[in-house]
Amino acid sequence: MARTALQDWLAALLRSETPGFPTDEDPGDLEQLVTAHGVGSLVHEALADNAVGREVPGHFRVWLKELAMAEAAAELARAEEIKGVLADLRRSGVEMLVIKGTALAYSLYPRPALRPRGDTDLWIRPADRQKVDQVLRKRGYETGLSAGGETAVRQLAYSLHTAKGIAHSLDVHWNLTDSPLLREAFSRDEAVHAALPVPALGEEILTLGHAHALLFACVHRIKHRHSPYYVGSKAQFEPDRLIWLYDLRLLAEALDEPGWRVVLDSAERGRVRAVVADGLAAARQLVGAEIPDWVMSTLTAPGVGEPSSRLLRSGHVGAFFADLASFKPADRVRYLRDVLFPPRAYMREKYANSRAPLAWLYLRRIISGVGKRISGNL
Amino acid sequence: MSQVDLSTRIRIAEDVLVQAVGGELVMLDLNQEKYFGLDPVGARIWALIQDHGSLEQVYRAMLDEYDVEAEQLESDLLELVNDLLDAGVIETAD
Repeated sequence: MARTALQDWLAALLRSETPGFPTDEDPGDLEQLVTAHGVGSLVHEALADNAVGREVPGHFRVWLKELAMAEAAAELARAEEIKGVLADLRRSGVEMLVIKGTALAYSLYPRPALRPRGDTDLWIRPADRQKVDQVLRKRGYETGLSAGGETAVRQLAYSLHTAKGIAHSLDVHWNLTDSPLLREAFSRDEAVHAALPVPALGEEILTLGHAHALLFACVHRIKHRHSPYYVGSKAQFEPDRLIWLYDLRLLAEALDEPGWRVVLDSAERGRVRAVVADGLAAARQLVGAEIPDWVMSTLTAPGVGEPSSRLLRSGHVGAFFADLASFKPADRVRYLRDVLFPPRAYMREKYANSRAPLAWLYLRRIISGVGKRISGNL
Repeated sequence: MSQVDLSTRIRIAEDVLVQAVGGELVMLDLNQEKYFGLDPVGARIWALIQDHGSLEQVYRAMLDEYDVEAEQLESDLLELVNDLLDAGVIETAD
C-alpha cells in the first residue's frame, strides 16, 4: 500500500488531531483502507469526539458505525471461548504466554473490540506441543497440515467452527517468530520472567511484559514486510499497518524508564536495534507515539552490524537469503529443504485437484512462491 | 407482535451479551447468531430494564430524565419493548 492522503488523514485522527477531510479522494477507498489498517473501531471513536466528524461523508459514518458494532459483537462472541481455552490449557499444566492482538486488546485498550484481530496467539514451550494439541482437539479444534519442516515453521494454526456458526482461530507458536534472524530477539525464559497477568482473560493468564511486547511488536511488523498477512483473502505486505503502530503507541505510553532500559538491553543483545528503531520511528511519526529522545538516539547510535537490519532494506528475495545466511552451513540445506519441500501430505492437500506427479507440484509451488515474492517487492 | 403494557415485567433473555460502543449498545444473541444495536436512548432503557425489570419503573425513570410528553414516552417505550421481545433478546417475566 502506498501512502495516500486518506492514510495520512486516518493517521492524523489517531494522533487526536483535527485534519480536514481530503475531499478529492474516493470515500470508497477509505473503507478499504480502514479495513486493511484494522482501525475501524478506533476511527469511529476518534470521530465521535472530533469536530472533523461533521466533514466526513454521511455514508462513511454509517459504514463505520456498523463496522464498530460488528466488531463489538464479534468480540462478545469470541471472548467466552478464548477464556475457556486458556483456562483448559492452564489446568492441563501448559505454560503459555498470550501474545499479540488478544493480549494487547485485553490489557492495553480501553475495550477489547478496539483491537480487531483474526486469531489469538499463544507462545508455548516446545515441550508442551502435544499437550496443547490434546486440549484443543478435545474442545473440537482442528488443524491443517504444516507447510514446512521444523527449521522453517515454528507455529501451528487451529480453528473451531461452533454449531452456532462462530469461527475461532488460535495460532500456537513455539518460537517467537518463524524468521531465524528475528527469533532470538529475546528468549522465552526472559519473557516469562517479566510476564504480566491479564486478569480480563482469566486467572493466572500471562502475557509479555510491556518492554518485551514492544520489542515483539517491532519484530512482528518487519516480519510482515516479507511474509504476507491477510485482510479478507487479500495478501498484504505493509509494515506500517496503523493498528500495529497504535499498539506500539500504547506500549510506549505504558513504559517507564526502567522499562525502556529493558527494551534497549534486549534490542542490543538480540541484535535488533535497527528493527526496533524503525518501528518506533514509524509509530512516532504516524500515530504520535511518545518515544523518549534518549531511547531513539541510543537505538540509532553507531554500533556493530546487525544481520536483522537487512530485513529493513532488502526485498523479499534478499530477506530470504538473509534468513538463510543466519544458519550454520550444515543447517542451511535443512532450512532450504524445509522451506521448499513441505511434507508430501501437505502438498497433496494443497493441490487436491491435481493428479500431477509430486515433483511437478513442488516445482509449481516454488515457481509460484518466487513469483509472489518478486511481484510483492524486490 | 407481542403485546405489553406498563404493568408487564421484563427480563433479559439468556445467552444475550451486551457491550457499550460509545453511547450506544451492541447486543449479541448467541442462540440466533445475530446482533442488534441500540441508540443512546435505547441503551438507557436497556440499563433501566436490567436494573428494575418493571416497565412502570423504567417509564417513571425516563420521564424524570428526559424532556418528553408522558403519552409519547409510553408509546415509544412500548414500541421498543415489543421490538426487543420480537427479536428475542428480552422476555416477559411472571
